[in-house]
Amino acid sequence: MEEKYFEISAENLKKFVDSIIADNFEVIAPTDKDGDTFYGKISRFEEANLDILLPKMSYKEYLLPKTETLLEYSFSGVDTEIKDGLEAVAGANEKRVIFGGRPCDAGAGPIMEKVFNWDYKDEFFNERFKNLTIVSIACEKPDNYCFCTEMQLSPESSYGSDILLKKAEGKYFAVVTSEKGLNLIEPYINLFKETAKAQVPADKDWKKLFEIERTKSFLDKNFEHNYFQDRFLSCIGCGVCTYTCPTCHCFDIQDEGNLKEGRRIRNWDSCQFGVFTLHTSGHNPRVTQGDRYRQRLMHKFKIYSEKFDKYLCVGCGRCSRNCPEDIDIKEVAKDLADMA
Amino acid sequence: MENIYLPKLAEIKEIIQETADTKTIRLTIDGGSIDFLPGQFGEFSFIGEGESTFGFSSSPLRKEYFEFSFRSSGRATTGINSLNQGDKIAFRGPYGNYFDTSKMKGKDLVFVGGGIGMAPVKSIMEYCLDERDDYGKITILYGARSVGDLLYKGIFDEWKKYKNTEVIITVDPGGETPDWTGKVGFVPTILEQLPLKGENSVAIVCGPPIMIKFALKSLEEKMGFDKSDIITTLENRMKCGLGKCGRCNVGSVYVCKDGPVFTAKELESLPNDF
Repeated sequence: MEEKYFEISAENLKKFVDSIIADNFEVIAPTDKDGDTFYGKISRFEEANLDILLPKMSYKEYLLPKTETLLEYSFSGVDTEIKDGLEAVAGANEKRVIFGGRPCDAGAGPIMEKVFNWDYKDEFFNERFKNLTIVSIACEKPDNYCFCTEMQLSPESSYGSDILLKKAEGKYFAVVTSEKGLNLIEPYINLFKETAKAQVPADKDWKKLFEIERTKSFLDKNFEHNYFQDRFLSCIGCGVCTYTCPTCHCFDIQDEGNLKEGRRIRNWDSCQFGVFTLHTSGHNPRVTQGDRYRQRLMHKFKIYSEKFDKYLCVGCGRCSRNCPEDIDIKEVAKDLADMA
Repeated sequence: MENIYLPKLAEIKEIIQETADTKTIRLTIDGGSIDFLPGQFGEFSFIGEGESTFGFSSSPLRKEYFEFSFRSSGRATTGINSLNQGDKIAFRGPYGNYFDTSKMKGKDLVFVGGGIGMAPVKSIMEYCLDERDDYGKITILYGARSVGDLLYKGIFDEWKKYKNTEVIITVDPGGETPDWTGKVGFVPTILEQLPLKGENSVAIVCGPPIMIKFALKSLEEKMGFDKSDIITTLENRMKCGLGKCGRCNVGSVYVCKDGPVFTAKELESLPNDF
């Protein structure tokens, strides 16, 4: 769809959000909880915290739930009955809107979508991704952990958003990029005023600290480099980097239940855990934390980009902000680029 | 919408106790085998205990059943181990690439297997034996730690019946019994004693990493096999088998999608991540 541009006052934006909530949309927005900010369901506009740069976690769980039922099973006598878990996913997210998320989080959806659709199609992901409507707000002041610009996005990128809001002089400009976005505002169109692209404030000239292509070219040639073992000696393998990451999608499949019934589930997993690759024989291809963090870097900045386009990272910096050992992936990626 | 994780139920037609802790299970779906190619694998499970990844160990030309061999080790395999004839196993697959027989036709073949690594070798080997006239001399070398650790003991004689086919069974030094009549020695050591030449030959090698390492070295350096004529399989840990769950990659290569079958030449270009 060709992009459309609208203007909306701060007051009307509040009306818009409250109206869609009244019309039974589930609105997920950054909201304060337990002294921190997370994406969560809001029941009125004021509950959204639009001042925070980034909520603690991304909204990945609305595309790839922490735990998802792939199938349910039950036993009666010698017979096993299997119920397809996809049935419960049909129509998921149809009435769900992510409001006030950031461009980095929005960029993660289309990046994961490629993984879930090369060759075999993962309809669990697809159904959720197809239906979720995303209204993001451009960032004005990224912090020192942010590096979306290096990751081919920007604090004002509309990639992955159905609507991108840009704040300017007490009002907002809405860049509508998809039919899904247009359908969302259609019933409330009197709150919006259509405008021309020229009226929308131009993106700032965001500067890059390093070139990610150089990081990749280092990784292309230096699998055995000492840097990995030295730099990640301090890594405690907690996996917080992977759990807070909007694009990390690796999962485990487990059965849980009793002698009568149960379910097969997939759970978020982490390449930072030793058991992730442990063979039955006891052999493990990735023994040290250096091996495991190298895998994370390789997957994000080399393997993914070779298979698809872009990179498996949106530069949100959550892995760095949350790391108990203060491993800053932006610094690491820059180190690698400098060594290339 | 199709759920790619949804298994089919297969019936256990026969269970063969191979060794103290390994079994071969023959399965049928709708009374017969499924379409697969030698080298491919599937996800097998006793529902409720989780899935395990195994390569097929039977020839796809034997249409009455498809089989896999496994060692009872963790939760999922202990579950499968507890099943009886007539019980159901959930199965999804086949996945992955396969041994390309078009590059093997008309050539001498040497099959080298170590321990339970013989399972995928058996599939392609029996496939070639089923179409015996398409190939030159066939040499089968199979070894295990001890006599008690040899799988497929009941069918060694069957392999020997084919024309122009030599079967050599060996056990590691110390693994022999007083009545053992086969060879004693590590697989790569015995391999080097065989009168094999690399020209117009293809070698298929599966087994523990250390065996593969030395067997490949012997084949390349002592016998003059071209790296692209030595074929092996990688057996990384997997969950989905579909290129999504993210754990079986070796560098940029996904064992579940780009493998599990690789030539020695292809392995050479991979980082040391397996």
